[in-house]
Amino acid sequence: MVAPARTHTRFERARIIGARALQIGMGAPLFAEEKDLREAFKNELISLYGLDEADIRFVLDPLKIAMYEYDHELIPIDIDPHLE
Amino acid sequence: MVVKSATKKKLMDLGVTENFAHTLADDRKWDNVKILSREEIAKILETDSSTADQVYEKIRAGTKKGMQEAEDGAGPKTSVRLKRGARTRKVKTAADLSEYDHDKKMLSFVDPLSEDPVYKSLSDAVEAAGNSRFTPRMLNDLTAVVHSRGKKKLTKKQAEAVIAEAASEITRASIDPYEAAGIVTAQSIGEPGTQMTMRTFHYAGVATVNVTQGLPRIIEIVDARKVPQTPTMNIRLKPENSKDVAEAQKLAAALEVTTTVNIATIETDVAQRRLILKLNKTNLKQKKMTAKEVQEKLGNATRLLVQADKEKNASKLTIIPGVHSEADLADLAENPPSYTMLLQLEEKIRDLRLKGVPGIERANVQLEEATGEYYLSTIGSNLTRVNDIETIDRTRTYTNNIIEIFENLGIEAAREAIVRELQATLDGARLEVDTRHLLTVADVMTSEGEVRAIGRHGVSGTKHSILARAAFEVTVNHLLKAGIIGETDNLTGVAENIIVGQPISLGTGSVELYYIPEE
Repeated sequence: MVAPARTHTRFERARIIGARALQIGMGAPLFAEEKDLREAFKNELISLYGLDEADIRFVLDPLKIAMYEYDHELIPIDIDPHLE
Repeated sequence: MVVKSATKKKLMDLGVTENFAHTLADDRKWDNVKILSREEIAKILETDSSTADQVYEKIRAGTKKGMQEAEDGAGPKTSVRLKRGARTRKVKTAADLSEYDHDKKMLSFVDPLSEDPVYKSLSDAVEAAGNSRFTPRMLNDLTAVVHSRGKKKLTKKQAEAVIAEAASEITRASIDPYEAAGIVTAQSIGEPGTQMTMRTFHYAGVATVNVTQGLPRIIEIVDARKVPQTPTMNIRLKPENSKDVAEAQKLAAALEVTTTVNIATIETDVAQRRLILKLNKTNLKQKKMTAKEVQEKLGNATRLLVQADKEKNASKLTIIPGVHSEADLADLAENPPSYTMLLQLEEKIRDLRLKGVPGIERANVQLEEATGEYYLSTIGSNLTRVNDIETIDRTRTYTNNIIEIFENLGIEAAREAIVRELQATLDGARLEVDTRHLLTVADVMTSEGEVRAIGRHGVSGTKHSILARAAFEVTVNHLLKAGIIGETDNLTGVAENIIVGQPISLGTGSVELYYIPEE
């Protein structure tokens, strides 16, 4: 995936994450692997569904997934490249 | 025959016989007499041409010009304005511009630090780091700081460390693009503003010079008023005489406006239809004026004959309305001035400026303890006229009237003055507002090349967008006018986009997203 041309400002970060979260929330396929996400959100899944069901159930906040994808530079969205 | 007019007396002094002088002076002032030609004189005196020639030569001899022209053999020419032209200005001697050395001035802009070893090592470090955010001015400041810590040289490593630290400070201090800086400024000035007292009448310490402080002053600055409520100046003397009290007092006396009522009591003699001015010796001395001066000034201003009770140190001056010269005294009995004329004259004389710079009510001599220098602080301000005075130091003279600064020194000076005045007012209220907010205000006010008020008549009223203007004040007027003309709105600003329900071009709304396909 593409790394940003320069460090994003906090506005750009918010806009990209927001747009991606909307896509995920509407059912877009994820760029992150499911097992990576399970690993990253392990504690949260356990607290949500308990130890027994944490491995089978997989419902997460789309915003959190979008933030994960942003942090790992997985989102193919960037700010206007013509600006520079 | 009694000598009744100055003209006749003058003619007689020149050797014209009395009856000729009387005829010539009849209905004529000296200015009119001296331009008469030989033929005219002969006609008026009803004599033969040789007698008239003699009189003519005598009159010619009485005028300087006449003597020159007599040598040239040219005919008589008008020289009416001889007397008026001799008037001289006393205080106002314009500063000599020929002393202005352009090259020297330009050289003074080249910073002496640029040859400095610290400066050099720092700029090398900047180049090595490849950081383009350092301006020469920042480097100058850094160099000055390094010097103030007692260091004369920096090693390469030290210079790099300084630059790295400075770079991180710049990053910390700068804001993101599309941050709503104006709103932050408005809030940062507005919040401390709520803590200011609405009405503060503060005596700013220096002898009876009262300066508007607090909220009223802030409003005044931001409104770009033509004249502040309490205009005041700080006038510095040239360094060579700045430690001389007498010099400062002399200047103060020259600056302060002195009106007739300041130095004399005016008595209206209704029975004889005349004004009698009783001069107050103490006040005259204080204002450094003489009776002679007062007499002259009054005469020049009213064009009337001012009679003194004695030649030297007069204590009484008499003015009769309608009497312009001694000649007019004779027919005073036949047609005395009207009562209205008398009252009008009194009105006119009462507030007549005899001395001083218009607008400057008071000038107090102050001592600056730290340097031992004397300076003047005034009530009232007139930068244009004060700048003309030779003994003042123009570079250190200051006024709190921003518009005056703009008119005399330009827009950049006005911008500095706005920041300075705002800062001083906020400091006076013990409020801390970052200078950069004040800079923003000053920039917005001056960016169009003139000082504009923040509000309907200035910044907000001259916005391009109709919707933005309509959102501010008098909505209907703006919309109606725009509708009649058929104006377009490009929806570039904030207010108009909020009105039409679009994301604004600030913060998150400013970001345009693009899909970048994987390579």
